[in-house]
Amino acid sequence: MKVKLLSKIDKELTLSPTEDTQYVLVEPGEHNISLVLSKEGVSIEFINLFSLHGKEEIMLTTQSIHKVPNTSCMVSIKGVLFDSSKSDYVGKIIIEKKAQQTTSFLSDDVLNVGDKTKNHSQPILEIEADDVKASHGATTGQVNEEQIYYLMSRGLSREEAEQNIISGFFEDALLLIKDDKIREEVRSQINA
Amino acid sequence: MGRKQLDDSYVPSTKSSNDVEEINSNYKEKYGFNVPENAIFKTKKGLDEGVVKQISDMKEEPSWMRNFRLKSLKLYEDKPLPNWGGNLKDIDFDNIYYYLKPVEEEGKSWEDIPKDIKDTFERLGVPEAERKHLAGIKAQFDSEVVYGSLMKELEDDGIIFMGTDEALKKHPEIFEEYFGKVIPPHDNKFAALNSAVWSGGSFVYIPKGVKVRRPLQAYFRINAINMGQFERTLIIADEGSEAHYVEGCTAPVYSADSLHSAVVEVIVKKGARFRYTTIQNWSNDVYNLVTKRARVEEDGIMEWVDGNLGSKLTMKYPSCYLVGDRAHGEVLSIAYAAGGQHQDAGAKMMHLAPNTTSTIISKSISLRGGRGSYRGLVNVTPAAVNAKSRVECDALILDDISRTDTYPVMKIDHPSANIEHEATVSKVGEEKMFYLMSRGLTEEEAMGLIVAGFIEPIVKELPLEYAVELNRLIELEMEGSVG
Repeated sequence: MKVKLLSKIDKELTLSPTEDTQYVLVEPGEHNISLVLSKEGVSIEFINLFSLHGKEEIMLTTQSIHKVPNTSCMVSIKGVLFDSSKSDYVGKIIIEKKAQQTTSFLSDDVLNVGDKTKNHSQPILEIEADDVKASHGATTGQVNEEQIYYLMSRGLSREEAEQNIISGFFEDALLLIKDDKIREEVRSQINA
Repeated sequence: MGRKQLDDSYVPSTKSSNDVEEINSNYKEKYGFNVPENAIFKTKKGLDEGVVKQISDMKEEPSWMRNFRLKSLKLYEDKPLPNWGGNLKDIDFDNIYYYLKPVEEEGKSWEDIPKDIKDTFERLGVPEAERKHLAGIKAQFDSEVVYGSLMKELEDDGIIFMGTDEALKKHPEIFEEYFGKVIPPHDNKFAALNSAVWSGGSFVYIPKGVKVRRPLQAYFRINAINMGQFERTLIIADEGSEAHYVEGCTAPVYSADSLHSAVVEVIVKKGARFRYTTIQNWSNDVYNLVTKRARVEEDGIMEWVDGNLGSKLTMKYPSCYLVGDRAHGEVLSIAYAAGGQHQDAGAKMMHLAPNTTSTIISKSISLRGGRGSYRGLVNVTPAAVNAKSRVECDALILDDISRTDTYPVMKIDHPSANIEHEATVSKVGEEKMFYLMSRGLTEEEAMGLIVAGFIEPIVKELPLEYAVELNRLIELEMEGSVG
């Protein structure tokens, strides 16, 4: 699978690859990304990681549009909100009538670390074919106090414990990245 | 699932049919019949100020209610039709009767009411259910409540269960305090419409600490052609009380559209628990546009169990405004969308106080060209510290001409919230079908069993007789849906 790190992209972006492709996005900002599956047999993976501080905001829309049979799409969003940052995400899965044998998944997990963060999330499904597997999951939560307690009992400071848990939270998504060089680049960027 | 349950109600009918027409004719026979219209009074078709004044005159109501209606009419006229949800453009609002009075007054015994109306409810099994299971009942026919009863001991406990019109006359003080407060007329276009022309519906008051064991039931029946039914229900569960209210709805099959636009307001006081169950089985020419909302105070629990089987288009999102600490809201929703039907159903949870919790479970089945949509909102406001919410939407899509959608919104404006949302769409698994068929079930039986299993988490929350009825209905609807 080809891996592409998206950087300095336009606000509106349509991606319609003709071979299996993985896209990775770590730039915050305002983006409307269409993932169009218009060639049979093609798989798209889209991974977005963000870590927002201060009053930073992310406004992201992804649309997984399945136009032909036998395609798959997986969207994974993982974000950590510090301070009074805000995430606004709309994640649409559209499976058109012709697009049988489709698999499409979307996950959107946000960890609130700040005390004035806001998280708005709209995972949408519009499905007109029946031979499909489609699902989405969205969670909003905090750093688990029990995990912090455990790590602190092992000698870590509270900050270190929190940092460890956040790294672990991102690690799930980082491990999905299929190119070692890009993975390391993203890892250092996100944990900076 | 126990063996016994399987034997009793979960085995689908073996009667097979591939004729879609036959399914409709079965609704017609069981629910879709009508009796001659024998209205004592009926407004002209369409809606204007004159019609609203006529309704108000007929009801001899206090001037504040008359003004409330007239103000609501203005709001209704000013508000545009919603541009989301289902297709509302085909409703011919001028071709509808907004008020039809079927009898002079509510009967206290079935013998008191006209034979046609009595026969209608007999055929629907209402008096029988009343004798067997219910604490009290209200039966509404077109615009008015025609029959009502309440068990003597409940009356002695101070429970009030009466038609909403009667309550306005007999309990004006409670009425004015709560009416239109949870759902004000300006809330949405159809709440404004209902506020202008409301008639009938139930008024329920459960006194402090009183626990009602058997359900209170209302049965809503549209009989006349081109009818608009606008019942208005107001429920107050006082501190520490518990009760369960059940409503059922059916209508004749006409080839003309009818409109049902109810407003249901529930107030759950401190520590009270209230469950509101709906089995909506309108005929496929009814537009069902209903606003249902509960205000839940400290430690209160509100549960909506919402079954949508019938209607042409339903737009209904029962909601809980969790205004007190630790208030809990729950919606269990099941939607069944067959050919020509769009079920746009869901739930709204407004977390407005600390430690509030909510759960939404939605199951929908789309088949034969039907469309099932889940639409929902979970809003954690900045005041709602430590809120928790879990949403689960599952959709089954049975063929390639049907459609399913999920439109959830999560607005989480406090970082302490724990929110989970999950939605899945799938067809009936081939392995499951294969397994059941290898055990000797026909394709249709296997499908019926899988669908029954899919909706089981909600069906098991229904009173027994409704659970049996719902299973039977779905089984009936499922006939001929395979192959």
